[in-house]
Amino acid sequence: MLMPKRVKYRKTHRGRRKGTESRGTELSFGEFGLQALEAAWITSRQIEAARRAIVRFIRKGGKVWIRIFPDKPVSKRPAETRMGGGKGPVDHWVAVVKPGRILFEIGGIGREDAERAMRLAGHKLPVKTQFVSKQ
Amino acid sequence: MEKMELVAQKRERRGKGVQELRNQGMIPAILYGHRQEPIALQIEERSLSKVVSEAGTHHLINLMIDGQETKNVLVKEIQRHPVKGNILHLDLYAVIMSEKIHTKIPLIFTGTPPVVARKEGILVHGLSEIEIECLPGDLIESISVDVSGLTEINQTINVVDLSVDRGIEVLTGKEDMVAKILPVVEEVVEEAVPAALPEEVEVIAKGKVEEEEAPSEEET
Repeated sequence: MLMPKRVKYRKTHRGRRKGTESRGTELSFGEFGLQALEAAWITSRQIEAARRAIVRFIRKGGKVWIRIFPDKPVSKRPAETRMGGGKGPVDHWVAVVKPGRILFEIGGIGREDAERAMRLAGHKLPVKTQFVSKQ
Repeated sequence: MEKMELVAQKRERRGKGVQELRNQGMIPAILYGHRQEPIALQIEERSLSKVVSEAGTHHLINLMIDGQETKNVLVKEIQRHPVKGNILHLDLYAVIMSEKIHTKIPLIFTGTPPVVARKEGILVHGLSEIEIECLPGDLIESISVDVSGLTEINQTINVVDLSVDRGIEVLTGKEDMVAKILPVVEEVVEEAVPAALPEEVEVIAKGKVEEEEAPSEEET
């Protein structure tokens, strides 16, 4: 699963996710892509599940690009612990996604196959998505 | 190349006031160029969308301003809404027919590589457009790239391999990849490997050290 190798700070604030995405909103590598229509934190597990759904569908042929990376640590207090004692340990990693972000790109296959692969991937993600193409 | 027509009016509203214009179906635009004072414009959305989708950034447009003066312009930049995709703002560049211009020309891929037809390789496109320099009169619609000559895995077509008309200089790096055949790699279903624990990620340095360094970066 995707996660950073080294980080500058172990834990981060939660932050806000207002507005739309300003970068990563256009297709850069493949001919087709999956675009987020909502804001969310997408975990590394969800990214991996979506990637597997695409790769399983296209089997041989096609190349997939992942355009998001989970670089935000999310901490969680251990179960059945009392309040206090500081912030909990890091539990998982998420990518902060805002509306307009291209999540996955795919190339080297036809439009119909790409559309079906992206639809399968979209079902694994916690956001509404739309299929986009270069044309 | 046939010219397209576009009608624009001079715009008084600036800054955040342009949102009201958009609500009325007008798109804010700016016209600039060599020996051309910048002019703020507004253009009707419906006609603009049609012209922009056909002209792109590589087709000369005849711009009529307030029904008085006409200028040859190129679309320099299009700002779109990240989700809806509608045009938010347009940069127009006034060309002088005797001066060379820089613009981007789309690449049209034709043919099917035999390796791809046999399902032994995947065709991946590197560039979808290239930057060129030419006189406005020499502008072309597109550059055709025939990929049927790619017969082996890892064979590539680079920018240097493209055939362009005389009078057009390609500015994109000569070794940049236009199309490539990649080998087909089938996904191996892995056993569930326990992932590294999130807490095991290495921290570059203690937070306090960076806090001390941070102000010095801001000063410089």
